[in-house]
Amino acid sequence: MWKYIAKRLLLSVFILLGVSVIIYTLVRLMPTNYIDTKFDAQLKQGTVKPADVTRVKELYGLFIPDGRINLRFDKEAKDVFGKSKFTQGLDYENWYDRQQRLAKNDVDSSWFEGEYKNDMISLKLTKGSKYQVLEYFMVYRNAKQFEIYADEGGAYFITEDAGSKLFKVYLTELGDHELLLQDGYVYYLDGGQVKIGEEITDYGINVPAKRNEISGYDATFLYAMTELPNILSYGSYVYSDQNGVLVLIDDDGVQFATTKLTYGALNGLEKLGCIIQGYFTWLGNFIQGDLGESFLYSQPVADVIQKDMWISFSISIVALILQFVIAIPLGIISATHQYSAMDYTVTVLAMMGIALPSFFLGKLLIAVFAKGLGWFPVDGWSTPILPVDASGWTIFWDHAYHAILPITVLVILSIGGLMRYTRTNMLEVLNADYIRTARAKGLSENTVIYKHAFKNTMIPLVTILAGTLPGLFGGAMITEQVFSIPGIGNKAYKALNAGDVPFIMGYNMFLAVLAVIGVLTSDLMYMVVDPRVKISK
Amino acid sequence: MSEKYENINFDKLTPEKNPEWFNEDGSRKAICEVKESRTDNLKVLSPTTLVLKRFFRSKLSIVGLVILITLFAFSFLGPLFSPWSETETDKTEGKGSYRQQEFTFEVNGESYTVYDVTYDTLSQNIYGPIDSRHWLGTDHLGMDIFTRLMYGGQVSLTLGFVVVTLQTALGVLLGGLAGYFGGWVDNLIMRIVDIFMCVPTLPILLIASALIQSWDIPGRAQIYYLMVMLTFLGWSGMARLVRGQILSLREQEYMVAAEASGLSVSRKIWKHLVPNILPQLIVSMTLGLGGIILTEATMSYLGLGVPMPYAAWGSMINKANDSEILSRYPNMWIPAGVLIVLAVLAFNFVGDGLRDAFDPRMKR
Repeated sequence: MWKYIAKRLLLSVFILLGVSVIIYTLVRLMPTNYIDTKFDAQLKQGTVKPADVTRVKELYGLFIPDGRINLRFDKEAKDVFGKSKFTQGLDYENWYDRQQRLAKNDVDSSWFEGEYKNDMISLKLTKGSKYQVLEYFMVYRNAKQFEIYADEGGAYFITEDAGSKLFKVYLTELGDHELLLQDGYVYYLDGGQVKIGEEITDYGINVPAKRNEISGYDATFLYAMTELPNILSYGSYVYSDQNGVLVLIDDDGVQFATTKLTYGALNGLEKLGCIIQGYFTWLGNFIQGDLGESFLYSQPVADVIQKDMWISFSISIVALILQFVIAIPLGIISATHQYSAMDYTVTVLAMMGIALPSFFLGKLLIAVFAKGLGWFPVDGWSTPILPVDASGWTIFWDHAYHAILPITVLVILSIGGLMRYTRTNMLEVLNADYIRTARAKGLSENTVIYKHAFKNTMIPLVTILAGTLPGLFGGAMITEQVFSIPGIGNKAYKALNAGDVPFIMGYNMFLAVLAVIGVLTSDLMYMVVDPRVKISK
Repeated sequence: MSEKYENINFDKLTPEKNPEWFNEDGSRKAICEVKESRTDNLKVLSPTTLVLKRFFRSKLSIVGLVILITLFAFSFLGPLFSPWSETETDKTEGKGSYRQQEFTFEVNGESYTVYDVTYDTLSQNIYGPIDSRHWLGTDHLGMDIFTRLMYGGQVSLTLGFVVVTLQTALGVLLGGLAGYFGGWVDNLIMRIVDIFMCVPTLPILLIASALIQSWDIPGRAQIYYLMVMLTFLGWSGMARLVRGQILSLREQEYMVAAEASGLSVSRKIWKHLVPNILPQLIVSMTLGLGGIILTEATMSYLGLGVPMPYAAWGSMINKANDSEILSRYPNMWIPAGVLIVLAVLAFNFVGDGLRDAFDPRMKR
């Protein structure tokens, strides 16, 4: 006996592990930016704290132990940088070298050379520089700032002296090009001709968004990122605003590239590693009874479940009792009067109950009995204007009054299945040999049915009851939603809509635990009630 | 024996007196008059005919079948005859709102009553009444409810059939493997089934459909993903059923005989096992269809099924969340609910009828 129970318990643990893997995988499959959008509004409203979002990300394994963060740029990013050049921009070694040299006013780099002399810059573009896409340099000399860009179309040139204007310089050949800044214009020598640089008014990039103006929940997070090695450090600072747009900003607050940023672009193996690691972290917490903190309700998930399951339970238990009280006699009558008009009526009604969707029945009852006849409240769990000093009984009756329609729905929905089950069982028992014996002994029909047959019909019913009881704590999601009853089912539904990840995980595991307990109790109950069942395993 | 011979005492017949009764060698002639053969009256009934006969004997099964055929015709043939399309808005003038105010005042002792009648017409026929153009009126977007019910039916019925087929295929494959091979294969598969039995279906489906919605899948294509999800969560019952059946069939004498006569594995499976599981499968598929339709309706009620411009029975009932619609426009949501009930009921009736018909013990 004990061996069997131990075996079953072990199996239950195994089942729970399996269920948790499925739930975890599904929740993890929800893409992170989806979570971000879900939380965006709530963050703005202040219903969710940034710390919570961090926790979600933790759950998603965004933070990798060694502090490395991988960013994925979507198509837009490729449009901005050009795919190959962008990788070069990420080439930290090169960049670091060049930054160092620029800092030392050593402008001699592999790509460009320039000299500043008496309002004149001589720019030496070496091979390859023409093809740098939007490379960005800053040259400080004599407290004056020059910025030079180059792309395939030519070099862009901007200087304070030239009125902070941006000029496009078309270079037809590689080699030495003299550039002259005078009267706010750029003159340059190209192919032996003096040309005037074309002023560009449409920058194509957003100038000057001040750095501190760009705020968002991820600002700090991404700022910190630039200090980590091996990370995108293109230009000076990296920010992300509310829409998940990554903004690259220089020291002066000039925003020179934006792109959309999504999280979690790890390679497959790393991803798997994170998922597995995240799962075990979560599992560890779960075993310790820590289900995390719900974002939506700002309380530990376990507390929310513990508090609200009693409302659901009180409704469900009443419904269950009524269901048994009504269904069993109907089932028995239907079985003893098989193929009679009574049998057909009861069967069809029971089938109707099974076929009714809970939300439709709920709406129907509301429309008829609450809205139409006004007998019952439309929804809710208590009257809003109950006196403060209302006694316990008043509150109880108020709750009961509100619970009548939901209970009706639950009873009507589940009565059919139970009734049919009773009927089938009763029919089977009535065909058994011991019933024939009882009849042969000359016992009255009532004794036969209610003493001999009924007791044996009860066996499977008792096991069903035992199996159903734990599930009552799980709540009836749809019915509670239709009637706005603040039970656990309704809370879970709201959490699902709000993307409250810890609550979803916690609630699902709670349901799974209840289901496992249900199966276990019903099996054990079967052994207790029916002496014919022997433990063979 | 016919009357012709009734008065003859056969014992007293002698060859001398009654030569007509005797052969030339003295032995008596055999009386052999075949009026009609008994086997002429017998019709050989195939098992299928027997099942059909038993099926059609039950009134409920016939009712279910009729409802189903009607529903299918309504959903799949109905749109051909409907002047409206699924997402078409009735752009004609709506009934508008009609207000009448009455002012009474007295001038020089005479009483005047002024009637101020305002009649606002709407540019679209929204919340249209039940009339000959819109048999069930129009909804909040001016779309014809009756036509949308047909398209909603297409979704529910197609989804139901596809999902149940996929579930059965998966269940038969895994349950069959478990039951036929037994041992560790059985153990492994049944533990997986145990796990799926304990997965909370509705919340998981809600997560799954939130997931599907986040993938930006256009319109109706979402339904395919929904089908996969429903299959993924629902195959375990079927697997358990098939396994149990195969386990019990494996022990039957005819299987032992099949084994002993050295039949190949595939012949044993396809000729002996499958035909014997088939009745059970058909019954549980039919009964399962109702459940799947209910689940789909629940999902669309929660706004997680077919996205809005397209019609689904569940999402039409969802409109009743608006208390105005709930009490003033029952034509917008009650028909959809009635159709769901009818569909599920019909599948259950037919399933029950089939079960009774397949079960030889159910002889009456």
